[in-house]
Order: sequence, then C-alpha cells, then structure tokens
Amino acid sequence: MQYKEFEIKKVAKAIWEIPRKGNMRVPVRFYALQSMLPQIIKDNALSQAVNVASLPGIQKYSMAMPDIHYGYGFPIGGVAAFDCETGIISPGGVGYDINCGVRFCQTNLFYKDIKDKIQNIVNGFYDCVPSGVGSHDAIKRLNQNEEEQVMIKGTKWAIEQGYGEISDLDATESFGRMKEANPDKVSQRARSRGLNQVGTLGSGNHFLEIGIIDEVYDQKLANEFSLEKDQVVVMVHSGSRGFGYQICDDYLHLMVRELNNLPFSIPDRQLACTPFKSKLGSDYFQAMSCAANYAWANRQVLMSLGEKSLRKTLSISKSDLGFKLIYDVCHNIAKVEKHKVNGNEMLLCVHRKGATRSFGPNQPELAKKYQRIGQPVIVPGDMGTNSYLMIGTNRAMKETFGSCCHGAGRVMSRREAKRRYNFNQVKNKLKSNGIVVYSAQRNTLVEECSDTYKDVNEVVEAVALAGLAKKIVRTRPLGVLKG
Amino acid sequence: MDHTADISIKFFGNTIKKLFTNSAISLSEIIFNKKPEKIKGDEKKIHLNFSADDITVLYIDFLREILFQNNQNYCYFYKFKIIEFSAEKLSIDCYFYPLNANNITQEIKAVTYHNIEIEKKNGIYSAVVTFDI
Repeated sequence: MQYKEFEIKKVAKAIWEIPRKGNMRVPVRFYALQSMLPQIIKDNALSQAVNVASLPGIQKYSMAMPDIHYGYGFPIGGVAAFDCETGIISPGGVGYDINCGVRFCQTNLFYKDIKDKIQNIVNGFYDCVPSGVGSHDAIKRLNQNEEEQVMIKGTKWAIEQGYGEISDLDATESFGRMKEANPDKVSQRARSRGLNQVGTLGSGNHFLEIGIIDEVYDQKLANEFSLEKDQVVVMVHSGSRGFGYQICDDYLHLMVRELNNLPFSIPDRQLACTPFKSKLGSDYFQAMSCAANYAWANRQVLMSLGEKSLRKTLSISKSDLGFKLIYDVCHNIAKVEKHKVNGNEMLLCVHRKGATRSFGPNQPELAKKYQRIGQPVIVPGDMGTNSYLMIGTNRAMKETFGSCCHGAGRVMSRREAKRRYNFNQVKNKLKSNGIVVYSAQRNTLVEECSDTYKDVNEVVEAVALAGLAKKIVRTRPLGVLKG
Repeated sequence: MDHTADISIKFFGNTIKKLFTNSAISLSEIIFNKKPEKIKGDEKKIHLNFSADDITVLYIDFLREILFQNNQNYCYFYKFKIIEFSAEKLSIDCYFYPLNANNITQEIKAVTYHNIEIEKKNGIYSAVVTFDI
C-alpha cells in the first residue's frame, strides 16, 4: 500500500510499518485494524509520524497508536523514545496540556441504586466542580508557597489537604509525582496562571463522568479489582490547565529561538527541540515535571470533589459509597525510563503525546500490588459510547516502550461538527441513549459529539490484537459533566 | 480552516503590518465572541516590544503575547499603533477594553508554530495559524 511517496507494509495483525526513507532515522510503526487505514491515511497524521522519525536519538521506531490523528508537530497518538545521551527532548512532543490524563474509580453502588437519579448526580457535579473556559476557584486560591508545594509534591499535596486517601498514591502513575520537578524553572507567568485552577476541569474534551460496567472480558482480572457487571464507576479527564500551557509555550519559544544553533534541521518549527542533556533540555524537563505534578494534584482534587458531590446527592455515607481509585494515567508526558533496545538496556526519554503508559507485570516502577498483574490502562471513549479498563502487557514493554492508545481519537474537525450538527440534535440523541450531559458551553457538546471520534471499540480491538494491552471491562456512560 | 484536533485560521492583510494587527483583533473577537463596536468600557493601552530572527517568528511571538493578555488579563484588543516595524523588530501600542473571565467564550490554549509561513499573493499578505484549543 502506498502513502504519498512512502510504502506501507503489513508486519502482523494490526501492525503496520513505513520503512526508512529520506531523512527518517528509523521506520514508522503504527497500530490499526485494516479497516481503519483509509481514514488514517486521509487524515495525514502519518506525515507527522514520518517527521518525528527524523529527530536525533530516536530509538527503534516513530510509533503511532490506532487513535492517531493530525495534531501540530507530533501526531496525537504518537510515541517516540530518544536516547538520553544523544537524543532530544521536545515540548511539542508532550503537548500544551502537560500530563493531561484520566482516572478510573469504582464504587459500591450498582445501576439499580442510581438509575433514577442521574440528572441530580450531574447537577451535583456541576455545582461542585468548576468547568468550561477559564474555570477557576474550585478550592481556595493558592498562595505562592502553596503552589510550589503542588509543583513539588503533586498528588501527595492534595491528599495532605484532605482530598482523597494516602492509598491513592499507589494507584497513580509514578505515585502522582515526578521527582525531577524544580519550581525555579517555572516562569512567573505560569505561576500566576496556576494559582486558582487546581480542582477545575477546563474546557474541550475534559469531563467528569459517571457510568456502569456493561461488559466483563476477563473475570479473573476483574476480580483482582473487585469489579463486576452493572457496578457504578466514575472517570475524570483533565490536565495541568493554564499552568501547563504556559510552561509549554515558554519553553517552545526558547527552543524555536535556538533552532539555528542546532547541528540538525527540523521539518516543522513546532517540532522544536533541544538535546536532552543540554541546559535548556534539562530546564524544560524540570519545569514540565512541575506541570505533571500540578495535573496530578488537579485530578486528585477533582476526584475528591466528585466523590463528595455523589455522597451529598445520594445522601449516603463514605463507607456505603465505597469510592476507590483504581488508577490514574497520564497521556501527554515525557519520562525518563529504562528500556531494552537491541538487547541493551538504555535510558530513554519517552514522549507520549496522546498515548498511555501500558507497563506489564514485574516492572519496578509500579506499586507492589500491580507488579504481579501489570498496570491498569484507561481508554476513555467519547461521551456517547464506551470506555475501557485494560491492563498493560510484557508485549507492550518489548514493542512500544510500554505504551498504548489513549482514547478514541478525533476524525472530524470542530468546524465540520458545527456544520453538520446542532446542540438539540446532539443532546436529544444522548438522551435517547439514556445519557444525561451538562456542558458549560453549548458549542462543546456539538464539537465533542460521538460522530467526531473514531469507534473506540475498534481502537481497543487494535491494541488488544497487537497485544499492547488486555481488556478487563467495558463501561458505558450515564451522566457526563463536560468542560 | 479544518484541522482534525484543533483549529487553523487564515488571516489576511493588505500590508504586512495589517496582517499583524488584523490577526490580533480577530483573535480578540474569536475569544470573546464580540465585535469591538458592541463593547463599552474604559479604553486602555499597553506598549509591547518584540524581537526575533525572522518575520514569521516575530508574528507568532506577537500573537502569543496577545493571547496571553486575552486569557490572563481579559484584554479585548481593538486598535493598534505600530511605532517601529522591521522583519526582526516590532514596537507597538495596543489599545484594549478590559473585560472579565466570564466574557471568554472560546478557550484557546496556545498559538503554535505548526507549518507557519507568511505568504504574499496578488498584493495580499496571509498566514495560516494553528491554535491549540
């Protein structure tokens, strides 16, 4: 099969490759069902994966998950790992919403307990959680010292303030904290934007959702997490808000200005990067880590606000609700990880932009309870369809630096969505499927409707076929608060 | 213009200076979803200086600053007076109405450098800018 001047070769079921050509230092490898190929080719995101393949120090492949779609610079759904000694780090390979991510929580409730109360639950979410453009002041405005503690401690800061339980740390990627965080590398502008946004959803595709488990794929793994059919679950999707956007913007600006001094050229300024070992590379990584920690604190507070709201709406005790975090994953991040490349262990800077870590069993980075079974992986769909809880695999460790997809992936621009649909059409369709949605902006609901996304079931099928993650349960939404 | 994940906007100007200022005014209109004539309030002014290695980076840096002022200080820019302009330098007075957080209707996270080129065709300047939303 041909893509522009490049050849696409089938490697195995759901695995495809574009061999090296021109400036590419490594091949592109992407994961998709055959039926997904026409859309992926039409979207042109593969050209962005080809561009990434030309960056110095890249190892094995420039990879793309089945939710790949056209972004800016790096494709969304992309994974690229660079040698920490000879390779680069790129703010565009992480994205503006640093550590945007998602968490999955279980409760003791079942569908029968809440089926007549969904509207009240969504109203309660709206009252407790600021959402939409520029949302702010979910909790008391931070002072500069408190904000530094958020940057350094991440999730732990939120727990110390009474948001959640200490056991949540084990159920959060990297225990909710990147140790490399250094507030000295964060600008005053970023600091000022972060003071009043902890505990806010933001806009766009961010959400707080209540749903139920509607399919169990692996009973043994479901038992490990005490999950069963019809059980009520809650998911949170948000990131580092204006604080993270500003850090990305600050460092991208600095790196664009340094481009002419680099010993290599790049095909798009948005791929601006710098050697990982340079002072600028190190400064960005330390600032990015602050934003990662901010995002974990944000999701921890959001989850806690959601739990309190549920208890209030349903008038039930903490123990009766039994709210418990299963896992929190980030999907816009760069991390230093050890992986085997051609049989040798290497220290790599793994960029996951719209991709989720999917570590298999026996990884020392995981909490003890997950070392035996692997790391939970959360794949949210759109607000009208399904989401999945999966588990990481050893195959992913070997093939993709322990990575898999992060969601459904867009197929339609927001502009096209507004051309085709209106607010009432989308709201009524969701209602007829038994889904209550509240969106701070009417436009958001149209821009985020199901038809603008790939079929998440196909995306998950592709990563499962390729062995990058294994399905545990599927959920369906009942009530959604959108940003 | 269509962009799968974010938005791309094509801006125009009869002159290169007009391309800069038209883009900045349009950005305010998009974020606050209002035309300048619909806004009443105290007019204010800030002076901004920029320098860059080339005109394209200068253009994006100018829009980055305008976006920051839109998002953080809720400045609705409606008029500009260019004091000094070259391919590497911009000195500009920016006139704005101070609004508030509730007036923002479209969140734009960032101005990107993605495939940015300034074109001149039939005497008209244009640039396609991709924004992260």
